[in-house]
Amino acid sequence: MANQHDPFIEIKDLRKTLGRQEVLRGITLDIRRGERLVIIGGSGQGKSVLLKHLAGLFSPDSGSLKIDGVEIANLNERALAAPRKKIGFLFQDGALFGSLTVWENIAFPLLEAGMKDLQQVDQQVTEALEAVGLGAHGDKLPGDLSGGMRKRAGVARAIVSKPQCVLYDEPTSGLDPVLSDAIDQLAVRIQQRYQTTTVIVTHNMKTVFTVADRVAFLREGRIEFLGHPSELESADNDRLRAFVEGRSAEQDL
Amino acid sequence: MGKFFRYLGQLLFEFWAYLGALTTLVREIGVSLIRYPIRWRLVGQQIVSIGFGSQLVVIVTGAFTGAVFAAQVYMKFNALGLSSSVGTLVSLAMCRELGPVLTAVMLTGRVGAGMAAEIGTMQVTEQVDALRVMAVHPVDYLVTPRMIAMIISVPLLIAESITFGIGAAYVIVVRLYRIEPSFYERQLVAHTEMGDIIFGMTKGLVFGMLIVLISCHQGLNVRGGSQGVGRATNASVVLSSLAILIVNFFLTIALNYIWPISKG
Repeated sequence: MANQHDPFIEIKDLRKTLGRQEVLRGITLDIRRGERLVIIGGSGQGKSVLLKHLAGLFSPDSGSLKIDGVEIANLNERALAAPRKKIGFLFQDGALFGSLTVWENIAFPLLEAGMKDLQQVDQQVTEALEAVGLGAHGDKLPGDLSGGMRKRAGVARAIVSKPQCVLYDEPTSGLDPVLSDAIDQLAVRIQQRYQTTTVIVTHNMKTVFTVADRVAFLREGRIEFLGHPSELESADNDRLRAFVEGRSAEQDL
Repeated sequence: MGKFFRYLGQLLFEFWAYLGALTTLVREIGVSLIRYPIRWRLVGQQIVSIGFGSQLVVIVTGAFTGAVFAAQVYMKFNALGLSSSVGTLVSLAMCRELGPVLTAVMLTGRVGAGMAAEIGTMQVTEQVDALRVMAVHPVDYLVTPRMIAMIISVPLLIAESITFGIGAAYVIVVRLYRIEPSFYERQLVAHTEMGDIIFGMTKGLVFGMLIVLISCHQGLNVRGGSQGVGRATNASVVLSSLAILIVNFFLTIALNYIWPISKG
């Protein structure tokens, strides 16, 4: 078992081809325990695919991927259950179960993990709902919630079992700037409260400056920059600077 | 010519790959049934949806098929002086062929399409991935409960279909064609064996399992948004119907000659 000073996630030369496109071209990255890492990059550069590898939703073609010291690159679906219990995942649109109420959605991981004490389940679900500011909406169906509320409910479900690591896939996409900021602040609060390792994939630069301890820039399946957000300004990478400043180059059109 | 054989080879290869994928799903269901706890609450919900919800369509199909079959047989057989055999023929046809096949084909449209669409929608909206991330195997949660519910529901639905088919035939031949009721009943009972009922139930069970297997496989493998869900739903109905009709032939041969259930 890994000790406290080892990285929580260790990625070595990870490669993945989907269809004919090589999406990840040798990613090497260590994610420390309790840090907030934000992965940025344009659309279609492999950010979400990389994040989904961390939850075992994709298996790499080659390379190594360790979660808390356990190699998960070649585990089958059933063997992945153990490492996945250490991880919470926020999907882009929340991915809440449409037939269950918000409360049932958030209780789902606890009940599925075999928690029998319903009082404790209720207590943890209520705590998670309150942490995301949805205390009064537990009995609603996901279809009755706004986009922002669905995302927050998704966050509540990702954190309810107090995982060691929370992965966020585009947490602010489709939200207005105020709601985006609320979600960013929520991610920071949760990390500070539970000391969770936090990995956020986004193309929203505001998220980087609000949340990140470190930022990684992904382009064409490779990490082209890794460092503190304050180093972004001085980075010697035209593409990165164009991305940070929101400038399009001639060839992007 | 070479192009034709290449196309044929590709088709054959895809067919083998498809059979392989279904076999993998069967294995996964087996593992799920043996090693992991069964979610009886979901099984119950599925019994309501598959079994309880399909009754009307199965009863109407069974009744009208029995009625039309009886009328056709009576008209032909009466001319040959064999009208006393109508009850026997209706009963055997309903038990051995029409009951299981028609029930299965109706379930393909009503239940199989629904399974493919529901699981497919869950797949494209990342709900299936959400299950996986929460350490819940999609087969354990989505497929196994449906399979158990189908295995429980299908024999009852077939029994209903057969009963209403024979009942409707009775109404036709006794009320419309004025055959002596006791004559119809005696012939029916004398020539229908327990083996005929088991024959039909066995077929129905296999068909039901095929529907769940094919529909869930289509749902779990949806790619490409709502269009993909539409394609999967369509494919599940077409493939399940074809599989039922083809397997029906081989099963009939097998249950008559290889593992004979009744004297036939």
